[in-house]
Amino acid sequence: MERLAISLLDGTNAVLVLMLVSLGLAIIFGLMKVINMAHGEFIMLGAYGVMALTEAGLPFWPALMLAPLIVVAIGLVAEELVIRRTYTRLLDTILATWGLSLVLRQAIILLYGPGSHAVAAPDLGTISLFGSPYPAYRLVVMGLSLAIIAGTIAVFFRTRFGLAARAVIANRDMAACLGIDTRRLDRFTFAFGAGLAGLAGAVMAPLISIDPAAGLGWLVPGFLAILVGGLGSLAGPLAGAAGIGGLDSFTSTLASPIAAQLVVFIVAIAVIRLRPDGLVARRRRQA
Amino acid sequence: MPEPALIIRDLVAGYGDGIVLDGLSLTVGEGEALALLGRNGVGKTTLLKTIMGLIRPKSGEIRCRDRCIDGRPPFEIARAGIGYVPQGRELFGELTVEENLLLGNLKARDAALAYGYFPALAAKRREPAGRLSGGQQQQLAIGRALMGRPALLLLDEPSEGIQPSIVAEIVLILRRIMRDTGLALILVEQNIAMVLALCGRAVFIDHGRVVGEETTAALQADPDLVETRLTL
Repeated sequence: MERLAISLLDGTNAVLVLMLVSLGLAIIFGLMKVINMAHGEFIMLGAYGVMALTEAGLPFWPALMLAPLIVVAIGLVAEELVIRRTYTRLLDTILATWGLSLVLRQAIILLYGPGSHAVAAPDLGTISLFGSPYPAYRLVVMGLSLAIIAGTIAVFFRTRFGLAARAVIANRDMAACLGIDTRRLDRFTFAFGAGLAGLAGAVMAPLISIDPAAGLGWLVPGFLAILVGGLGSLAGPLAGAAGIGGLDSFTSTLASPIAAQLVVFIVAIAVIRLRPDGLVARRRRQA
Repeated sequence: MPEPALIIRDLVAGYGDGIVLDGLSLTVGEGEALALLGRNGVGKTTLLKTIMGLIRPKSGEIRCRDRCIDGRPPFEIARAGIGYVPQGRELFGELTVEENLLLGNLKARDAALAYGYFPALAAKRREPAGRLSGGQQQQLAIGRALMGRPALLLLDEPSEGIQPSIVAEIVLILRRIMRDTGLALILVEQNIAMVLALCGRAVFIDHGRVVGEETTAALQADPDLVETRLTL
């Protein structure tokens, strides 16, 4: 029972980080129609950022805050140099971002080698939960992820920036005709999505093996979460991440990680077959 | 004629290699309401889209209040003082009435400007735009464009799918807005009654060019004149 409770907590942890990853992917696709194959590399860069900054002598917490900002800066440069040249050409975005992912991964190999690295988790001790000690840092990861998810939702639904972004998602040309600088919004959005991925990588840095392929393990579940949840709203990717991440953790606990992957793929295929628009399909209204 | 709100000279534009506007020139005075008349497919909507920057002109010049706007992106053209109410309205159906209005001017504190002219919208401010009736949606589309305080408003078939009493109400409100703000407008409209009620001048377009011009007083005096002009 205790083992199950702890596994549930670990699962919740993974689900929340997957939500960050899926949100970033969904926002970039929703606004710019870019399928970002380099999203996994942005996660990896977030983890490497924490590693590099702590190795340079920065304490863990400032490094955790700074690493996603470095990924934001890299996202801005990538958008300017590569991504913006592929807008409106969906297939080209896949090719271009895949190329970008290769460049980023190879750059990391050149800088830090192909091997894996580790970042020490801050010594926050453990907290007794359900009679078992549970690492306090994992609870911090959950809290931070929740706060960022809530913040992202607030930005999209409570600010004028979010209103403009939702208008561009709905009808880019009409939004531009109302004076909204869609080009600027694209740039910020791509960087914001990259930053969310970077943050996911940064918070997970002490919990994972940091290597050049560290982000790939999140990319596939991230895309699956979007396909299963639906792209019509922010709720879709969040629901998809909860479903995919939860199912994966639950099945891993009861059976094995291999079985979990099988189950996740079978369920994802079934959901996509039965509900092609996703679990949270947007109700379409004509105006 | 008053100072021009818009000057178009020798405009050539189209889709891909095809040319729709072929050397079109016209001028709209400050505070003037100009109607564009012509059969389907002669380039009226293409002209509005080209003015708005949605179609890039191949050649020619478009000036708004002494500022060259041809080839500029739509957001810059909107900020230069041109409002656009497209055919079919293109509201953001899932956003509320208030959100739609604020999109017309993201810096505005509230949507009081639009509610002042269209009070019926104020009562529905929290409703999704997609749930409004056709007439209310048209009022919202016009109100949204007004939020940016444009000097020139482009209206593409605003009476489409709307009952005559609501069209008459919209005409009265537009006249009031023009009187209050000095707004100029270009109206593309099949509904001749609306053209006569709102505009002082009409130009006839054929094959992407202006082929004639009449005052609406002349069109009113001779009901067959529109058909004669269109046939020519």
